[in-house]
Amino acid sequence: MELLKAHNRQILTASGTPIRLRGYNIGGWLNMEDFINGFVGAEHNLRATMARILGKEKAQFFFDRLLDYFFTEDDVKAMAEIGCNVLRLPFNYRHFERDDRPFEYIEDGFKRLDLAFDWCAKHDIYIILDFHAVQGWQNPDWHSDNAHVHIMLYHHKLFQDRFVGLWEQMARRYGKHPALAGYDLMNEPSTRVRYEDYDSPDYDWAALNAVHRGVAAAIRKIDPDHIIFIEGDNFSCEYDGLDVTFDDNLVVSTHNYMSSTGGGKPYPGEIDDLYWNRDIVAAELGMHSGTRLAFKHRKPIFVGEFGVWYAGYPDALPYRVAALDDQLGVFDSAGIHWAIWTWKDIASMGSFNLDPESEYVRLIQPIQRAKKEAADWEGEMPKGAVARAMKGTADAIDDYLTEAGLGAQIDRRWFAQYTLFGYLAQFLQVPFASSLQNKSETEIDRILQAFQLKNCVKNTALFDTVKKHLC
Amino acid sequence: MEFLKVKGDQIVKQDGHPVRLRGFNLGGWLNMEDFVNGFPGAEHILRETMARIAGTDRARAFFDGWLAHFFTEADVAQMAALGSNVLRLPFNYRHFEPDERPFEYLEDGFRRLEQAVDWCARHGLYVILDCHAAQGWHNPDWHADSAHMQVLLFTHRHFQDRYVALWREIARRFAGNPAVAGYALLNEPVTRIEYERYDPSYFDWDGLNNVYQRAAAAIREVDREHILFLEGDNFSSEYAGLDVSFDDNIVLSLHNYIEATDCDGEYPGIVDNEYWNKERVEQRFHEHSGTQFAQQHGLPVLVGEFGALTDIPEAQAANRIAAMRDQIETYEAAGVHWTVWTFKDIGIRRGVFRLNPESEYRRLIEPVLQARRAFADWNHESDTPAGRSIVHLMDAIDETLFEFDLPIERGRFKQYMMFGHNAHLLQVTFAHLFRNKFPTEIDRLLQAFTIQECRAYPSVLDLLEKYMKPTTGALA
Repeated sequence: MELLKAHNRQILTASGTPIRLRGYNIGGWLNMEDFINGFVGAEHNLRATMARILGKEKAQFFFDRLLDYFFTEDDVKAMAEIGCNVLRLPFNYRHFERDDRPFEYIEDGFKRLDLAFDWCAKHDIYIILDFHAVQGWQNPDWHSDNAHVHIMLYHHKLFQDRFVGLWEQMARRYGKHPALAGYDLMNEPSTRVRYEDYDSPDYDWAALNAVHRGVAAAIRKIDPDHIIFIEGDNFSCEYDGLDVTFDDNLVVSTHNYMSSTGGGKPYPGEIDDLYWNRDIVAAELGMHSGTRLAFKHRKPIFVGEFGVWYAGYPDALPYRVAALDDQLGVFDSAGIHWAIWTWKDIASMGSFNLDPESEYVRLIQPIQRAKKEAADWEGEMPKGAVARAMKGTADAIDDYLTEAGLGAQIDRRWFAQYTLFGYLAQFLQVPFASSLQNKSETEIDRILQAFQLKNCVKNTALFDTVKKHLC
Repeated sequence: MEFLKVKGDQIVKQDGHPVRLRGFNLGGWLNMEDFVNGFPGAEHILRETMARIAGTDRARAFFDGWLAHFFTEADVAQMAALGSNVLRLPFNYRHFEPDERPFEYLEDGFRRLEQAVDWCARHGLYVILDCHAAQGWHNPDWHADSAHMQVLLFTHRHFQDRYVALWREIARRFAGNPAVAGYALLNEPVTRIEYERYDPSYFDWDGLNNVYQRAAAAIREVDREHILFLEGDNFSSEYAGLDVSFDDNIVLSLHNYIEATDCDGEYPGIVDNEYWNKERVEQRFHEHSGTQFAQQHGLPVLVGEFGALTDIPEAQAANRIAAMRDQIETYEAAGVHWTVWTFKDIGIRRGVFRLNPESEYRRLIEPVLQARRAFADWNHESDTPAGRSIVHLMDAIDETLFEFDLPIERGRFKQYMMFGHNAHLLQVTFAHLFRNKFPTEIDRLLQAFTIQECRAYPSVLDLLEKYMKPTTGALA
């Protein structure tokens, strides 16, 4: 495999030939996520809860087996067979470094990553290392393993030092590996949490740029060659103040989730007060703040995340897939590099899903139902008594603030995430752990085999659409 | 002043004469607190919110003015006049070390602290330096400056390194200073927070003991003399696994908040569905895990925090103060040291001195205080539509999750919602109050916190003076 370089608006191989990177994200492996893996809350809290309820050894056994089965050479082979040439590989620092022993690295984590590199090299797939859950949290969401929506990275020098330290390790260990495409410095950074206006455009560009520049400089001392992938503020939606000038070998990475690829509405058709069709899909990409920045600075664009959310709307899958088909077609016309979210999950976005009849899915059914009814903070609010009560609380507080003339309003999206994820989801980890309490290691091993590719169910419509744009 | 040290279960001067420490806590100065200072939420979030909304100049005027007026030599003179001989001084590490520049120390913070110790020395008061808000948070509450109930200190080596280094720096600066009684290593440590039912069997004693031993070792590198004050887990209520073997100059510190000083009801009489009288007060103190632990290990005891709710209707307050009197008599009879919480506050809870309710500052923030009562006071039921809606929400959650037979922990949930979310929402409205004020005007408003402008609660003052004033006995 040849070394890749960003040159002007293209990615070139060492011999100077343009290459288009296209493939999957492997969410849920070295960064476990609530809706992907089927637990609730944040991974690090789950590990603590499991250790407390199951005992340290059995908890460790559970997580080790989950890692063993979730991603194997079979997965890489299946990606290669349909023409993928890149894998974006999200990781959580906790698989490589412990909070109680900073700067000491965990060989078990690197062993798994070594395997992934070897499998990918064997099947001609490049790896983009994606730092998805950073020390001190780079954003308030579950996918950065943040349990309590509190962002510390940008203010805490010691978390930044550890962030740099782990990237240095990665560069030292994989900087010479033929399968490495480059380093995605930080997934979906978010410098600001607000209590009154989640979407306010008040970003701390100085802080974000300083963290990016610091880590890039450290990587460059070890690895002068591989591509730096960089993402904008507000979960990779805002790029206006982003510094991309500090390195020549740099790709702008954006995320491109759209209304047309989630939920139950027909496509083409009206969604969120806009008639969605291929023109709008093209405009969403073209006018994306990251696209404009990349164009201005003549940098390649890698859409590191986009995808279809079909959970809860099985009948609407043809519409979602049609929207995805248009989106991928737009990427094709623009020569955009992409990695779709995500390869495998329980039943929400993956091209492969766990078998609904598998023992694991049946075991977590009560927790999933409880999450749906009480603690589903994303997009779709829970519909029952908890949702009504949440609305009642938000209304009552807003009424008070309006009557008292206090000039503030609840940001309901933030309020929902704070309550339902920050508290309730962590709470539901207790029954999740309890459901495994009486299982032997043999049983746990068998249950987790549900994550093996051969035991998963292919989402054919979705998979075939992705495949179509890989040929 | 003479250096203090521990001898057996007593605190003694150099000549071996026992001393009884009696005095105040100074909450709200170097560790600002929601209901002490009258803003909603956590100090470090308020600093960000103020800077963002009112601008950095106004934010600086606000916090500097606050520190300048909240505590002056006149406050120390007042404490001395009442007869106290000790001040427990809570501090937040953020006044001494920024997160952005760990291990670099802020001279402004140390200048204030050194001045406070000098004032106390001049008026014959010892100072206990109390680490109330540690790096990485050592408990989930507002008073540790924790906004979202996170506790990271015990699992994060880096926060521990900073915490330990700050104690070494403090000890280096105060080593040899006889006006310092000693170092209270952590206020109300908590090694875990509970999302479900409280499980008293699950404490991380290794985590807590390790942090204490590291801090003590760092202090002893530069200061062999000062006393170490140690508190137990779960907000200083559990002591069974505490290690006190690593130093021979240790005072056991415990907190003794009780229903009789905090809840409604006649005293003596039924308070919170239980009969409370002096016997019950004594029993509660003697059965305290900390009291028993100190006895087993032959250590002196400091009741570092206790106090009565006084900002309630006067007839009720008399009951609460009567219970507090019985507490003090219990401590006196048991020969333990005590510091009451707290010297001064905004006037919504338990300050001995309170802001004048007619002061311009208090009137300015009144709408925010009212909103806080309506939906952001996690310690009370708020009988407002917004307050009741939180109860409905908890009911709805328990109803929806009934199959798990695991009701949510309501106290924690209320705190998570009403403090973590609602109070920080109200910080926005608090900051708006100062948005159009000149820095000089902000400073003038904050003069309401000077002792000259504050009001005392006379019967509390009488009570404290009676027991603090030196008598002719050996323990004078």
